[in-house]
Amino acid sequence: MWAYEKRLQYPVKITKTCPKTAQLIISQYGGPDGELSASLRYLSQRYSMPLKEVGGLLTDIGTEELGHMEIICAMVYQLTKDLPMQKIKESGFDLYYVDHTTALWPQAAAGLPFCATELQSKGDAICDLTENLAAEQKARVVYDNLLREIQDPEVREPLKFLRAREIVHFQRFGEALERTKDKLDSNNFYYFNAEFDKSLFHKEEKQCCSKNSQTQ
Amino acid sequence: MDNQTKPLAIASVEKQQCDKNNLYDPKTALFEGTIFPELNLPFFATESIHSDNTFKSENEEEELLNKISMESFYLDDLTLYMDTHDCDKEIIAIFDEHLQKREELTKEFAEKYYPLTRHFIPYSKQHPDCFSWKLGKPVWEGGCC
Repeated sequence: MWAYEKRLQYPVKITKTCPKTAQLIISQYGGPDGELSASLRYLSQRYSMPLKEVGGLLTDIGTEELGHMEIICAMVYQLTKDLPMQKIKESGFDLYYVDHTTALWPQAAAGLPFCATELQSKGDAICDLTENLAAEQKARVVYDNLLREIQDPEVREPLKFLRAREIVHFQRFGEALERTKDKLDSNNFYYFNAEFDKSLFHKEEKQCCSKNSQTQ
Repeated sequence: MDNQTKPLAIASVEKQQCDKNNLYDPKTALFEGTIFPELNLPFFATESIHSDNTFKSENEEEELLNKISMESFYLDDLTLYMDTHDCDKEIIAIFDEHLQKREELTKEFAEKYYPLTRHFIPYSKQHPDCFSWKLGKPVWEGGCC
């Protein structure tokens, strides 16, 4: 269950419209490494995670990503609010406008529509957590690229915030991977799939537990 | 793993050991995007961004909303830390303290302006004469400004 809170995680107050900037930023809404892709990735992967706390982390980060999607959409909305036709034409935003006017629609900067093939939910904890480490890095690079190009401070501040979140999430997914590894045999993490070959995993989990209590 | 060599063919990330006495204050944390100075790894192109003009509010309503955002973000980042460090009593105590602060501010916001969640509808001054959930501007309009 989700409950809505009537505020943005990071305030967005853009006073100067710029359809060109909107067209770049929209990639973090519907692009391959965008916030929609991130939230769906984590909120899909969590169900079959072998460690309950890792499923919990995926829920929390997936939820935060939904909030980031809202920040990006608010930025695109404010950058294209009350645009005169002339500005739409000159900026190249007319290619988007013809299909969506000034509404929000999930697409990448170059116009590619959002597609679920941009994310993976593989059903193998090591694979999925490694995917998430890469996903956070890819999103960080998009923010780096945006921050190099965009100069408006009202746009840069929320982008800087969102970039910083990617690094924190990377750290947490790394810690989640370590916790998963702690429950597996370090001589071969790939002997079975903890999400699917559950009887083998539970046997291994018990052995890890007794090993840990012996060393303590 | 101490006496063994690290396993091959798998990613490793060092577990964060945070210093509870060295956390950012809620305003700096929201500006930087983390409460942990050791996880604040900025990009060269953002060095020119300074916090001087950030979160400047035009009225009391906006000021209070910003305070709520700062306290809420503090909890957001703490929650993710606790997801992977679940028995850290000192951190849980810090969490409790900020949770209470946030609760008080959100209640005050409902009493003075409008409820941010359904949970705070009873504190709204319009309640129960008018359904207060519909009050307030959509968040994408820049909040209450």
